Amino acid sequence: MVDWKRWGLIVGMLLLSDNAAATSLEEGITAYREGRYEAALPVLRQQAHKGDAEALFWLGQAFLKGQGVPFDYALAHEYFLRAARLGNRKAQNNIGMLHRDGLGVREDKITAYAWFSIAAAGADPPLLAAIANQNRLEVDLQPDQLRGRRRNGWSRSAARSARPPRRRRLSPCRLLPSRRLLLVRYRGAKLV
Amino acid sequence: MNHYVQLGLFAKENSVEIASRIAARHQITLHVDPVEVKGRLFQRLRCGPYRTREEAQTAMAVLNEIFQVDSILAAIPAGP
Repeated sequence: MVDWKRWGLIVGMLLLSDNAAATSLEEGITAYREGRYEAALPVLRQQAHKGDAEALFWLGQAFLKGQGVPFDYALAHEYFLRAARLGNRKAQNNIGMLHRDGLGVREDKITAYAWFSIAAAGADPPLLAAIANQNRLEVDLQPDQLRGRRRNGWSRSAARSARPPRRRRLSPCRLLPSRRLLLVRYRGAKLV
Repeated sequence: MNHYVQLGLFAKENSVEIASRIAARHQITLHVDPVEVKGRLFQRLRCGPYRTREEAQTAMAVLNEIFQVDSILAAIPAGP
């Protein structure tokens, strides 16, 4: 026989825990907006760890503006990228700004335009900041630069920029002679 | 000197309409002026005027949240 009381209790607890998480994220964002970074950042980090796009965006903001943490544009870019992949339009717009101004990433107006376009093409209502950034950048870019990229699609342009840099595999021949020697010695030691 | 919060330059009428709708919902007065930048026509959206820079800065934070924009402050000499 189904134990309805037990199931009800479990469902209730799940609902409560969900609500508690939402409230804490909201509280975290409110604390951040009010400048209470010590209270905000642990909550945002916790939620970001769970993969919450909004928390990832706000953490990126913290590193972008150096609020409660030291300035780190590269880290801000990383957080925005994770949020952007989850569809956060504000993060997509901010990645565009980082590329436009060359903060933490290589300055690239085409990639910036690509990100602004993605952020602006979102759901209803569109992000006005992204539209304004996109329109403003159109003035600086050559028409043929825009035409070529439009044909290829902006998402491909943006995706290319979002790819992590290739990691070079270290092989003994790439190591310095002294290190190579060290490696040989180490291997020798292991063998013995 | 009058202080304004400039919400941005928009090339498409659609964007201006969206901003106007948001402004109407929040009972905010929006100034729309056509401006030309490098031969292209834009609609400049501004809120204000505010008497002091501090007043405009406080408004800017609120307007950024409402309109979801990265606005800037603009100081314009007061008319005669």
